Amino acid sequence: MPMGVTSKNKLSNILRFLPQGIHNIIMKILLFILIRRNPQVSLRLKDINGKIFLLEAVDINKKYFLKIDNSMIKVLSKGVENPDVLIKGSFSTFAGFLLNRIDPDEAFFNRDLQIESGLEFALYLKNVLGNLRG
Amino acid sequence: MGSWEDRKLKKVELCAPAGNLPSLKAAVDSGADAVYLGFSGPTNLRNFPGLNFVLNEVEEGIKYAHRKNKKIYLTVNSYPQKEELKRSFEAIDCGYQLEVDALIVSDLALLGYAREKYSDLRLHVSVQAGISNYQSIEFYKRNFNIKRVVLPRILTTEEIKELKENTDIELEVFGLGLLCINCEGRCFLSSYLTSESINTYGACSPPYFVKFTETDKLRVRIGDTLINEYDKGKAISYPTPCKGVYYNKSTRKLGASIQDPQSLNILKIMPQIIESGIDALKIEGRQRSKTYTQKVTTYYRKALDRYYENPLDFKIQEKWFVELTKSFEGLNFAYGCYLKK
Repeated sequence: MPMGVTSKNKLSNILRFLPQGIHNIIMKILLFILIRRNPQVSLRLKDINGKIFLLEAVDINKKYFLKIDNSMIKVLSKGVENPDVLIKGSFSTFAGFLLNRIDPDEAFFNRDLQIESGLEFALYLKNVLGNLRG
Repeated sequence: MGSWEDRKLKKVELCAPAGNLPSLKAAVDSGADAVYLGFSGPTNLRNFPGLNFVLNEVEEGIKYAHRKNKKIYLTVNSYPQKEELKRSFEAIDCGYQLEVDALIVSDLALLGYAREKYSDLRLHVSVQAGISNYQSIEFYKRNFNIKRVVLPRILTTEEIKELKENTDIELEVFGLGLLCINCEGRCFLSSYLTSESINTYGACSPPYFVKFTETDKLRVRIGDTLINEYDKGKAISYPTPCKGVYYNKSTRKLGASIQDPQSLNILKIMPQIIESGIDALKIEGRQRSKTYTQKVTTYYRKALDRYYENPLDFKIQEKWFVELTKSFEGLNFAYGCYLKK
């Protein structure tokens, strides 16, 4: 088995066993850094203020509830029943998207990302995050 | 006009898309000669939520491109109705003040406005105008002093050659992107299913009309109309009415009745396209990410350079083709009408 695959599996196992609370903290830090380095992203988020996104990392069985609040992306510690947008994918796909390393459209066409509801807001978020400069 | 020997001296310009600043910079750094973009809102096609540029981003993008001797073209190519006209005029004003290298326009009122107010502003006619004969090109030249026409995807290379022999206006063609129903500026399928026209709103099947439902199959609807069903795990495309699967009454079968879901990629026939006399080659995809722009621009730059190194022995690496295929909806590539209709 190639080394890359083994390392990826090891990382997936570690991420799966980490509690959701730890995941939320990591996500909070990552988003904070990204938005702080890219203030233009924050300005564009105002049009979807109040919307709640659920990103479900199916390979590690974790759910991230993100709320656009006051032009910031906040990570909710508790889930909600009917989020405005539900996107499913692997953890590495979400990470690659946030770090501008994968093409979200390509992931969508290949069904590595599945948008189960709220396409309009999902596209909005994709387009806004497309402005991230790393 | 001019002989092929003359034209060889002037290399074909590679024109890449950008829906945001990181994509613009990626296009410039990956070898585009020019980048085309639009303002947020319905002044141009690709009016998707959260996409496109605001004023200060265009300004920064122009500075970045000009520092590297690249050009920026501003797209103002929707057909505005009364209430939107002012917004399009403002977009033209801003473009001129920011010193874009050219304006890409289709509506006659906008062409007239731009020409009358800014006599030194370079004008390109958008693909949306659907210009396909040299008499039309001469009309636009005579009345608006245009410098370039973006041709619709309905012409063969032989027809493009003939156009070039009859005009000195620059010709730009699409090399890579979606193959739409080939009646740019005249498509009303989106209006039929959603009440929003691509020509005025700026996007066909606007996302707030699109619904995905996954049970045993993934079902895709535009408005209330079911346009496609996919088996689990199968690659999908962004839903547009022309690529939908419909019941055909005459064959009594379900199928892509309007258009086969294929994308355009001329990479393997680049010599024929260049030798038809074109001046610029356009890559589609302002709605796509920086990663996409970087990838497609890189491969098209490599292919163009390879052609000019040795036009008689043009070969591409199969890897380029494979990588490009991955970026396009998991479907097949085609040459559109370039080789035959």
